[in-house]
Amino acid sequence: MIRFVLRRLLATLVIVLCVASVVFFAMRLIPADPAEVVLGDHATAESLAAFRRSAGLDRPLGEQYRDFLAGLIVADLGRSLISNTSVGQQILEVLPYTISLAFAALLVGATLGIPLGVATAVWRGRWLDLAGRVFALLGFSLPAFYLGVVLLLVFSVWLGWFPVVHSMRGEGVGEHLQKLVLPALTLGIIQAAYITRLTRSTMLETLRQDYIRTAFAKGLGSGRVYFVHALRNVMVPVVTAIGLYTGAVLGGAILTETVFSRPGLGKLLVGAIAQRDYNLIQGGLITFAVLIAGINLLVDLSYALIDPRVKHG
Amino acid sequence: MADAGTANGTAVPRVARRSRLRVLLTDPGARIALLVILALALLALFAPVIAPFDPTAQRVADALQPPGTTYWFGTDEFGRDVFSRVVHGARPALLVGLCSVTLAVCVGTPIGLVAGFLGGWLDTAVSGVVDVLLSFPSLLLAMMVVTLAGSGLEMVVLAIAISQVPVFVRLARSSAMILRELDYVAASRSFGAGRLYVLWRHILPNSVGPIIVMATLGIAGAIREEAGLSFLGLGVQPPAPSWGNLIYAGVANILDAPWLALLPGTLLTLSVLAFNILGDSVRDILDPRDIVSGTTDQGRRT
Repeated sequence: MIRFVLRRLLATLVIVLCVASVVFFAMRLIPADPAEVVLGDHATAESLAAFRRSAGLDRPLGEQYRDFLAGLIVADLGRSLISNTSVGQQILEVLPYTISLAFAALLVGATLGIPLGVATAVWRGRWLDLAGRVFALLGFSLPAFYLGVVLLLVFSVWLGWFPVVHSMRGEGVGEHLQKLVLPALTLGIIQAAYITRLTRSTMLETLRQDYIRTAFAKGLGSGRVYFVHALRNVMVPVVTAIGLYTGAVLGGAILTETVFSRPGLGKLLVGAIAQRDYNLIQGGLITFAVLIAGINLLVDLSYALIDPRVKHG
Repeated sequence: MADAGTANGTAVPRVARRSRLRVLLTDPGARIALLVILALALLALFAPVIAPFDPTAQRVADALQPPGTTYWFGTDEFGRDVFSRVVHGARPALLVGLCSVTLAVCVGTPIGLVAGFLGGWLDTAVSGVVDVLLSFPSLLLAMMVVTLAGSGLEMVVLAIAISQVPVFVRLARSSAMILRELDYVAASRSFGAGRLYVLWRHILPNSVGPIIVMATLGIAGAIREEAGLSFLGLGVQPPAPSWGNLIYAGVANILDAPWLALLPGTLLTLSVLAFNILGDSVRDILDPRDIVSGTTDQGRRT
C-alpha cells in the first residue's frame, strides 16, 4: 500500500512538473513582448529595458527556467507583472473560494445524481426513469454559465432570496454559505446529470450479475440488495468518474465565478489573461494542474477504501 | 448524415446503408434534433435576410428597450436589436462547431489509429500526453491557446480543435487496438498486406462509427465552448455578436434588462441539446460499443 501511494505520488509530481514546464515555455513563446504589453505603446526604450531587467526577462532562457523550477519547489510563483504583488499570495487568497465551490458542487452532484441514477435503473422504463433521463440530457446540454444566469434571474432578481453580486469582503460564515448556494447549484446540477447517467448505466449492468440474483433468491429485501450488494460495486466507476469530472467542474467554475462575480481561481485567471499578466497566468494554470493532479491522486487512493479487490503495490 | 452508413465500411451493402438512415429518421428524438439543426443552419445562412436590423448598428436613443413590436426581444445597452444579434450569433456558433470538430477529427484520428495499431513506445508516448491533456478541462486548454495565439474566430476554432484532439486520439486508438487483433486483419496480413494498407483498408473504415458519434457530440461541446470563451471575452470580440458575449451582456445588465440573456441562452441550449440527441441516436443505431468496449463483445463478432 505504501509503495502504491509513493509511486502514485511520484507520478503526480512528474505530471505537475511537465505541465509547469510546458506552461513556462509556452508563455515565453508568445510573440508579444510582455514589457510592451504591460507598459503600452508609448513606453521608451529605457523603461522597456528597465522593466525587462526588473522582471528578469532579459536573462537567458535556461537561467530563467532554473530559477522558475527553484521557485516551484518552495511554492514561489514569482511576482505579478502588473501589480508586482506575489502571485502565490494572490492565488492563496482566492483558492478557498474555488475549492469550496468545487466541493459544494460535487456534494450537490453526488447527493442528487447517485440516488437518481439508482432509482432510474431500478425502475427502468417507468416515468421516473424517463424523467431522470430527460434531466440528464438537459444537464448535459445546459451551458454552466447560462444555467447560472437563469438561477440568478429567478432567485436573485425576481424572488430576491440571494444577492445579485456574489463578491466577498470579509463577511461571516452565514454570508459565505448564502453566496455559495447558487454557484454550487449551478455547477452541481450539471455534475448531477453526468453522475445520474453513469450511475444508471453501471447499476443496470450490475443488476444483471449472478450475485444479485443469488441475493434475491436467498430472500433478501430489495432495499438491502440494491444499496448493500449492488451500490458498493457501482461506486468504483462512479467515484472514478467523479474524479475525472472534477477537471470539468473546475473548468465550469471559471464560468460560474464570472456569472456570479464571485472571487476565485477562474476569475483571477480570466482577469490575468485580459491584462496579459503572464506571470499570474502561468501561476494560475500551474495551480489548476496541481489541483487536478491532486484530485486524481485522491481518486486512485480511494479505490482501496471502496473496493478491497483493487491490488496495491 | 449520409456518412453514417459507412460505419462498417465497404462490407455494408447499399440497402443496409439506406435503411440505417431510415432507422435514424424513425426515431422521433433524432427527427426533432435534425429539424432543429436544419433550422439553425438556415438561420445562420440567411441571417442578413431574417434579421430585421443591422446587428451592430447602435441607436443610443433606443437603449435597453424591453421586448415589443419594433424590437421583438428588446435592445441592449447600445440600442442594438437583440433579435438581430442573436440571429447573427448562430453563425460563429455553427461555424466554430463544424470547423473545430472537423479539424480535431482530421488530426486526432490518424494519430490515434497509428498509435493504437503500432503500439510500442509511440503508443506509450501518445497515450501519456493524451491522458494529461484529457485531465485538463477543455475550456482551460482553449483559454491557454487563445492566450498564446490571440482571440478572433480562427483562433477560437484552433483553440477548440486543440482541446478536442485528445478525445479523438483516444477513441481512434482504442478502436485500432481492438480491430488489429481480429482475424480478418491477421488474414489480410498473412496475404502480404502492408501496415498502411491494413490501416487504410480495414482499421479506418471500421473505426468510423464511433468517430461519427463522438464528432456529433463534439459539435455540441464545441458550440458550448465557443459560447463559453466568448462569454469570458476571449472568443468572438464585440461588437460582433456571439451567443456567449450576448449572454455576458445579459449578466452585465441583469438588473436593468433581465431579458437580454434569455433568447441567446435558449438558442444555445437548444443547439447543444439537438447535437447531443442526434449523437445519442446515431450511437444507438451504429452501436459503437461493439467496437469500443472490447472484450465482452469480441466473442459475438468473431
